[in-house]
Amino acid sequence: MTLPRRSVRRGQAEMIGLLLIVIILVIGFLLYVRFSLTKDDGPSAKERFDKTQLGTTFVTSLAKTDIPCGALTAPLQELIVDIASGDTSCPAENAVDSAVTAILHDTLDMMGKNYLLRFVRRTRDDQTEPIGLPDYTNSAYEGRECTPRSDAVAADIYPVPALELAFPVEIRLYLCS
Amino acid sequence: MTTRNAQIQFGESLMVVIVLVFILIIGLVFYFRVSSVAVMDEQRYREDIMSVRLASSIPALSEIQCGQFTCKGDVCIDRLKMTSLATVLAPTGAYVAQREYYERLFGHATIKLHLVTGDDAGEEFTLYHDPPPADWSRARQYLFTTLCNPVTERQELAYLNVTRYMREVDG
Repeated sequence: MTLPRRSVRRGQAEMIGLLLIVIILVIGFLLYVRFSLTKDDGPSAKERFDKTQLGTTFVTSLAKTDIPCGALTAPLQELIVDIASGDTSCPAENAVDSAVTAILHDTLDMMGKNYLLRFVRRTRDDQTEPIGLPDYTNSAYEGRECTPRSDAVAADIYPVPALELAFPVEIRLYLCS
Repeated sequence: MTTRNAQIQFGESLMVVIVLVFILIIGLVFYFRVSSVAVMDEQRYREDIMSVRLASSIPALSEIQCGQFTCKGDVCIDRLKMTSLATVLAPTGAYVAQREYYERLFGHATIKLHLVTGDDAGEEFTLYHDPPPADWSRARQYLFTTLCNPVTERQELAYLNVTRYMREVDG
């Protein structure tokens, strides 16, 4: 038994209508998926500013802060040069270590930042090595430890001005998310 | 029989129109939702920029920046200048015109300076305080600086705690 020609044509028209509706729904769904996936979940302008400016201002200010060392008081950057050059006119290592520990406790630790602070000297082959001070991190931070190779790390480097040193000394602060 | 056919065809046409209207409504709802999210994102971005601008402008104010001969430094605040400015900005002070100028400059905000090192470590100076009339949301930012006493020429580490109040963004 064959269907009349009119019924076949009508069936085809309905199929095309149905197909059109399905296509519209698929396009709508794809648009929805596209907009939900491309929504910018990156750091906001404020977060970016926090990360960059906080680190930059911290290392710059820290370097110029006066630290008591023996009977004298000197900017931290001068004491670092003394440590790097082996000058032991005052126990600079102890003075810097205790001052930096106290400063970090009252600032970046209290702000809940995940960081790594290093005092390094550049070597002949453009690598870095510690000048004799330990690496400072936030021990109270519960999460992945901050390293120079961490994801979403912002590095701030302050080159300590010292013409008497053969290799430049730097204060490096890494702020991780 | 023809009436019955016509009724069926009318029903079909009606269903098609209903489905099309339904799809159109979903499309419009989706479009307006995307638009409103974009507007809110833009507003948040602008608020962020305003907060960033306010925070970064404080250490750059010539009214409190360190001078050329003492306490040199890119990020350095003169203690004597800062104390003078805090006196001018005090809500109970007599400097009404000057305070209005800074209110236009800073808007609703609170600017505090927290000392980290030195004899006054742990102390906090309130430089400016203009809270909003209602319970607005707030964005807080920290910026490190040194506070220099030009008399002793000692530089102490300090940080600026800048809170900017904003009208709540719905959503």
